[in-house]
Amino acid sequence: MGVVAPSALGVTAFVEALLEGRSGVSKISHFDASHLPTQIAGEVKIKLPSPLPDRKVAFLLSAAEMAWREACASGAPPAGNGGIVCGVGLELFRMEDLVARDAPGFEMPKDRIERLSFMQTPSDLALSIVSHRLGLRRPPVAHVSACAAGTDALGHAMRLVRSGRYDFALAGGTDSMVNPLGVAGFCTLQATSARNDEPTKASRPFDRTRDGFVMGEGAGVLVLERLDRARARGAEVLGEVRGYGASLDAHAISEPHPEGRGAAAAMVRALRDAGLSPEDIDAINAHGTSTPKNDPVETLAIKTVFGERAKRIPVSATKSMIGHLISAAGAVEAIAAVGCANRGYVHPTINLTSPDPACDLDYVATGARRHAQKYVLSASYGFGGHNAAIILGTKEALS
Amino acid sequence: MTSIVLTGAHSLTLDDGQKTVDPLPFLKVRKTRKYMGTQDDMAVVCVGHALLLAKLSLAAGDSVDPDRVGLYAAIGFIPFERSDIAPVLAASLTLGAFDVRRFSEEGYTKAPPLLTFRCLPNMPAYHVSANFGITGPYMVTYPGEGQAFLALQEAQVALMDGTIDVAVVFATAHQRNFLVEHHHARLDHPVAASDLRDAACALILEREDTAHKRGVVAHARLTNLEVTYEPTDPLKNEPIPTSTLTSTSTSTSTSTSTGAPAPFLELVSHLSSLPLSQHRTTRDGLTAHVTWSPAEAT
Repeated sequence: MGVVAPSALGVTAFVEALLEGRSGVSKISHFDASHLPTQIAGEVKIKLPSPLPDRKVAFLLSAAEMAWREACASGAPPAGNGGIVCGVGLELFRMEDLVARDAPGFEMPKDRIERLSFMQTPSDLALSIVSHRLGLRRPPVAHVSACAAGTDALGHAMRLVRSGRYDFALAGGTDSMVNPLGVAGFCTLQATSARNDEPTKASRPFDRTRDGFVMGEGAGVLVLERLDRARARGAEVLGEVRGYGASLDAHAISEPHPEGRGAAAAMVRALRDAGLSPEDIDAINAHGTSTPKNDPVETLAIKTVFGERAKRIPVSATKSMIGHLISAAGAVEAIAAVGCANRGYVHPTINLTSPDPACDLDYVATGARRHAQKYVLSASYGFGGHNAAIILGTKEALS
Repeated sequence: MTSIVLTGAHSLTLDDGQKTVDPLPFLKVRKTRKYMGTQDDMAVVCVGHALLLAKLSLAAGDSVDPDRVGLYAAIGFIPFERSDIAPVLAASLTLGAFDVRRFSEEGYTKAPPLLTFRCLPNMPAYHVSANFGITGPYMVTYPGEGQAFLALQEAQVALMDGTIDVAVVFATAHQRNFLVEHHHARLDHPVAASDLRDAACALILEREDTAHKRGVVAHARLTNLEVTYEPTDPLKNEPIPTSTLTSTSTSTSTSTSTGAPAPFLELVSHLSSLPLSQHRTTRDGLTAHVTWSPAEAT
């Protein structure tokens, strides 16, 4: 597994930050956001090597390299033909380049890399770079289902490997919308928190005083292969993607179905695909955006699927610490869930100090908790009614 | 063994000067029109007509459960109209240069409030699902012809393994706008803005036994679909895109580029001259080979 997150670089540091309840949210430093309604984000502060200036390209290349290195560390590399399946953020153009393009005498840059960077970089380019670097010979697949894209990519990659169409897959997500057009776009929609004076307290999933999500950036990549093949080559198996379910709300453009029907359907389909029942799930990594509309509906959907037992399952929201990584969220949160579970913990949902009466589950609000887990459900729900859930098996489940 | 058949299809390509198509006849709620961009309009119209041809209403009482209808979409490069960004830029300049402070104080407020909805690549899938009541699994991929084949392949797999009973496969590309034109101009093998077309196409696929039970006409049979990939260094060069068609009719080659929907448009235009064999290599290194046969053929 490889991760580039606002709070840390690399899985070990990332998991430690999560278990400490450390926020990666701060005032925006990538550009002067001091006059926008939202001036905070979960930024990746480290400059990463990349042939292109687009940050999400750098994030994916770094996360993929980390994941591949770990996959190869304790055995021969995964054999056969693999491919990358990835949630990718959309292309927003640089306003400075727009001005340059309008200037008299403008000519398209001659250098290919400059051409591919000018205005914006095609979102799928990073997948082609990874494919070329690692010699992947199965088609790269870009998922663009918004906030569900990372989880959709993991689920899809699992099915490609399980069916034998790919021998292995690098699965994940990458995104960065911490730029003027990205931040301003969400300000226009009044979707982001304006708690600018308390950046580390701004992302407050399930709290009564939440006022919107906090944007984050980063990438997460997991190397998936069949269990028998991984064991045969001597790899350390970190966990499994056991099941995947997706559904469409078919309801409203910017809010979930009021009964959480689509979210519940995705969870039920994931359980069915995994061959498990609700009783088998030991913890939930929630979508938990800290928006007024998501959190109570997600709570309702969990209750629908898990019944009375819902209140006894720890539910953690990674976004409380790193913000919302949009197309990368599902992949990074899957790494959070598996990484913490393999240490025997669930990470906390920070900033939950005034519980919303409509959000009445166990959100692990008081700090990381020791909790044995075999199976964790991780869910992502996208703008436009895309719902995705995966069931992750931990090392304990595989032992 | 049962096979996959085509029971509905509809394509459209906008004429020169035509900005969009009217999706209102297919909208459940008329006021949602304000959220829709050209790529959304085209997708809804194509899927609407294709579902009609396939005799699927997905309403209560329909023999097909909307939970078992999957949606597989390939969306073209993100579109952006110059007229939408011009006022933002004008209010963000100081002495002719972009000024982030002016942008933050005034510029961004000049953007149409619903602009985000009209260009996001997942929005066509939303509008299709909401207006036709599709609640099954989905895949939304991006940005070209190769990905249309991948969407088709996922639909084929989901139908064959019984995950779904009906697949709504569509591709839509709004290309005549400044951002997509810019993208095509910078490629190694550029496409002139005058050759770009706005287009969409929807296919309704189902297992032959499902179609037979529903008593609907099958228009074609998907007999072969292979997608392979050869990685190349995208920072150095890109494969030369190629496309060859073989059918019983004389192929009409065109210099225009319709983007992601192109393979599906070819199918629809050859439905009366099957079998059709499509072989296409895309600039991102995918090679697809697809064969469609007459539905009565075994």
